[in-house]
Amino acid sequence: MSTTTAARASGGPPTEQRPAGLALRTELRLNAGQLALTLMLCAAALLWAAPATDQYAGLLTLWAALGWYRYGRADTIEREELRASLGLSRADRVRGRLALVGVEHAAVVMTVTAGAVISVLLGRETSGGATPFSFTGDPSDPQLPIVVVGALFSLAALVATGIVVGGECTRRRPGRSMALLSILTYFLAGVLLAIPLALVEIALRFDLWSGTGGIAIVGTVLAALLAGLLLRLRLSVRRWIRGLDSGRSETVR
Amino acid sequence: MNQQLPQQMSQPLSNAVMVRGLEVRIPSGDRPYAEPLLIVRGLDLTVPAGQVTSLVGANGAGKTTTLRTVAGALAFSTGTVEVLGTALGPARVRPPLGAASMPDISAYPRRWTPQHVARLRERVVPGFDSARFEELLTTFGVPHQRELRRLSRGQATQLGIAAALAQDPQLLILDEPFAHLDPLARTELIEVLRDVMAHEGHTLLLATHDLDGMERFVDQLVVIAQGRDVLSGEVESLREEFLLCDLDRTDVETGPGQPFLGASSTGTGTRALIAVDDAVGLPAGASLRRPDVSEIVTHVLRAARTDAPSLRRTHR
Repeated sequence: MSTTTAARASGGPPTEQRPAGLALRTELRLNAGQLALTLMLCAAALLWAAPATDQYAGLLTLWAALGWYRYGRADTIEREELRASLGLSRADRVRGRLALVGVEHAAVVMTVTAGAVISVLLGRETSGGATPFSFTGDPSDPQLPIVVVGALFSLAALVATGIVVGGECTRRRPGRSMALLSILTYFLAGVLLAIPLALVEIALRFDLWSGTGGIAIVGTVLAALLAGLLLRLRLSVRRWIRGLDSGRSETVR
Repeated sequence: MNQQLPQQMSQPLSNAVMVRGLEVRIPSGDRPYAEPLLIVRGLDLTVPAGQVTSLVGANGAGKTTTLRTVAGALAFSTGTVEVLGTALGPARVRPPLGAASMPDISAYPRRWTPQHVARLRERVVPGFDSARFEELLTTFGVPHQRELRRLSRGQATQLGIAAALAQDPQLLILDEPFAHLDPLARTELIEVLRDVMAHEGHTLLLATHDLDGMERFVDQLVVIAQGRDVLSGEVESLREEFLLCDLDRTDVETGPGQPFLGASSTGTGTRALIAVDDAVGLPAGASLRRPDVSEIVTHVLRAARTDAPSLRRTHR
């Protein structure tokens, strides 16, 4: 007799553990259209990167910054009811959303990086894959490390954006103002991320953007910042879920 | 404590749903950041296991919000909600898989067909029976391949019910299952639900406006007005507790403290519901008869429009 059947026979609640990743799979299926659109944009950006420029691939990061807002807009009470009927909790929704946005961010950053690599391999200048922020080191230096730094920078800015807008976009169906806030937060995060880099440059009295040694330092600083932001995001997700316990129905009907 | 758990689990649940003092606030659709509206205001609800319980009430009374809360889709600010032995509330608590509700088809992506619905549920809901789902769709006459957005409202309702029933739930939660159904479809649905309820261990909680001919199907009735339960009990008991009174005059006093509930004019006189205990000493010219369920509900709702809390204190 299965656990569920046993519980049914006893009249008690089903005690079966839901497999990890179920929330993500549900989110992927319910938001397949939105994710497919992102993947199509990625493909178009890559195709454009080969004959022309990778600058437009970088614009995809702005689209990714809107991810929390875009997926949150689909959260109607009907969809919440659907998730409940599938045996998923409100916390599952938040975790599933985090994973879904993470998948999209990863896809976008990989695309942007690939676009930059294509540009480098074709001997063109690259924006470093972090449009609208530009990483253009000394053209005589190897460009691929700059591409890696650009990817780290984009990821860090996207994670910072998620920390700021993710809670609001998962607690309730976001209003349109959250789209604007997402973009502004992404820009602000980019500016703020540049501050520690500038401080390191001042402290070391060393041009970080010339020579592979400097780029390596930039990469290390950005990797540390990204790790810190990811940790902060994890803590934020716990706080968001606790916030859902506050007892007010969050989803707009 | 843990050692006692198996003993507790082996006891069959007497109530599938227990709600006490429920308050639910919902934000407005137009103004997501405005102060949420209090929709359900201190509702109590008991759904005995193995029975059919119907929530009835006027539009906006809080029936759908109550069902959504019981289904685990909505958070609540005050009260307790226990569904199949699981206390809902914290965001981490998963609604029990033994409870199945009927989400609106607008919850699904626009281009989905019933087959997509089946595929999602197969992967996510343990024990989902695709063959049963297909069989029910065929019974209801819902096209298997048609996009959900192209289904009629009635077909959409039938699809939701088929998906819920294919989970073989202990507790089936249906919101307005008969809305948009033609008479034949309504009869067929009642037959299917009767068949489900004939098997031991199934409980049905539904909200409906349509109580015609439901006396023999519904066991428990809960009347909701302004977010509160104003009357609840077994259908047969309620029919025995009340009488429908026709008076040949129109100057009947109603309201708190008066025996006449939900009085309405019949042109030449007044018709009102009264408790059996209040039937003694009625004025001459009053005729009494047993009301049917619809009449009880209509008069109670009319009375509740003016004084729901008082009605609840008097008749629970």
